[in-house]
Amino acid sequence: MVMLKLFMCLLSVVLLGNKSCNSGALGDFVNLLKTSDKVELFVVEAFPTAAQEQTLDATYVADYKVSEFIPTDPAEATALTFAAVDVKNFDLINVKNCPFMAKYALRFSKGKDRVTMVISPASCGKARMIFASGAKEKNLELTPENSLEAAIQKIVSKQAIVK
Amino acid sequence: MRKQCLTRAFYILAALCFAANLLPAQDLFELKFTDKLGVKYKGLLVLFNDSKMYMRVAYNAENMYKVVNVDYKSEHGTTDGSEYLVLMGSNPRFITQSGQYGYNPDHIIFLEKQEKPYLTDDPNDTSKLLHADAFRALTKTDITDPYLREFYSSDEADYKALRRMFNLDLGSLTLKPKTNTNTYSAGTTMHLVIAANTNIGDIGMSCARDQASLTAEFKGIATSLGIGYKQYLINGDNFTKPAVLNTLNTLVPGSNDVVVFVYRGHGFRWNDQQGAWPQLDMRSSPYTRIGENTALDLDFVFKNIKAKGGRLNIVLGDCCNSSIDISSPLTGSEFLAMQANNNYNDDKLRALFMNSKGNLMATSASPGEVSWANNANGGFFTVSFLQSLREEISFLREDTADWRDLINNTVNGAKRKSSKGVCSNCTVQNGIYHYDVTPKN
Repeated sequence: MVMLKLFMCLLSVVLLGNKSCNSGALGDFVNLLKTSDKVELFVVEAFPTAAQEQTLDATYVADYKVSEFIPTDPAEATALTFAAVDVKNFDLINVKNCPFMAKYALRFSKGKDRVTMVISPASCGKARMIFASGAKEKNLELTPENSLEAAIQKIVSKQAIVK
Repeated sequence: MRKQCLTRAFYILAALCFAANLLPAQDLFELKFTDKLGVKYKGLLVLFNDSKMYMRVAYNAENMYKVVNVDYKSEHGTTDGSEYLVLMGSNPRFITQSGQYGYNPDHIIFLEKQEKPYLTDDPNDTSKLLHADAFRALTKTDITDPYLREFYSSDEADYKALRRMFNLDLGSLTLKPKTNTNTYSAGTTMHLVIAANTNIGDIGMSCARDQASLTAEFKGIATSLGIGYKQYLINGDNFTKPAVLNTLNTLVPGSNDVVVFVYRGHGFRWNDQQGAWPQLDMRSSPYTRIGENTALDLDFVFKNIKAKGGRLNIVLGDCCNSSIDISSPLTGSEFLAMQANNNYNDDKLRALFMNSKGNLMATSASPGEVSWANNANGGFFTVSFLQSLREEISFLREDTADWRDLINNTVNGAKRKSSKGVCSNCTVQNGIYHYDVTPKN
């Protein structure tokens, strides 16, 4: 299996002219994630709220109502960014037939540009990437032992101890 | 769309290997290649399903005409966002005399954007890589007796089966003409109900693909059997719980009718749920919250259909059965109180659909498990069901068609597709079923 994957990787470079194995698989979102100057972590409700039903006394990220804001230091923000752009954390072929149940949202900002990654944790590990404009959205499957959820959990559990 | 980027050869083979194309005539492929020494090879690839296929390779060497049989398994994956399909060869066996030399089985590699596949008999050495000379799906007109005899001896079971499949047995054509209407079929209608979440962002494409495969398959079966066919599709914006309930209310099968209900979408279980069967998530938008108005118990659907008194009732749920952090809004008692090319082997079809009665319910995952799909091919369980159905009614299979074999093969097929060896990121799904089907009389 591993041998085959290496072989296929080699083939993709040799035959398809790719520069490296598994580059650029996340599409348009990657550049903004990689170059973001601000990363914010939120705990959010499971389902988004339609704009007309949102209330002024609540905060929403990509229409998901925020339950809690989790502060991150620069090292944690970097770890989250690395995990968010690591293609190994995403299954680009297979999808689970389970409903997306949001729990966390990561908001990456660069100037006025924003992209939010909403996370449905295991056992229905999925991510939904949403541009601030709402014009573009990408659904992604998280791999079973992805480093993104692990990075979030590490920050959240540290936060719980501080409290 | 990604699908449009796939080359025709890759698309056809990927679909066939994994998703079971619906036309028997396209179960056969011809592959031609030339090795580094200039020896020309002609292969006949015969597909049963993604885990069972073989290729007969004919070539001249040592002043002999040789035919070797190589078994194949497929692996479908992606590298750098490009899809690939590898058919891994093993167990070479000479059909003719072997001569002095053996045969290293070839691995066949299909890549996106490449019309013809690559071959190698050594995955560790890219210098041995060959580009095929030609690859094509064979049609009925290609399959003649001389063609088959290039690869088979006349006493082989598969040779005889392929002759029957392609109507090459003149005796059978003249003595036993195919009849579309007969005493078995009179007054029988097949009701196909599909609820497919074709609009949802993550799995919508896979659901649409399964819907197309299922409707083509069952329509073809009904035509082949000469029975009536009614189709009820709940999809797109109409994918709602009331739409399913309304469809079930209007479904009135006769006592000799066949009802097939297939659900393709998200599934889950309440965190306090006792029953084994999943809740069908009847939402087509993430903005709709999960609740009483959107969840439907597969077991309720089964009981509802069973109570209508059709002769044969098949209820399939291809969805997850994993827990969500929400309790059931209903008590169990309240819930229970709610009450194309038709080249099939007709004898086997009749055994399944006309000479059987009873009820069968199956779902793709055990309690606590997720089930899997991919956009190119569909749900692992639905794909496995279609593969198993086609295998069960294939000319190439000698034993009698049987629903228990079919559903066992479906569950095992989906389990195999989700196993680490085939899908490295998947967790294994173990489908479950309730079986109560007996011969009609």
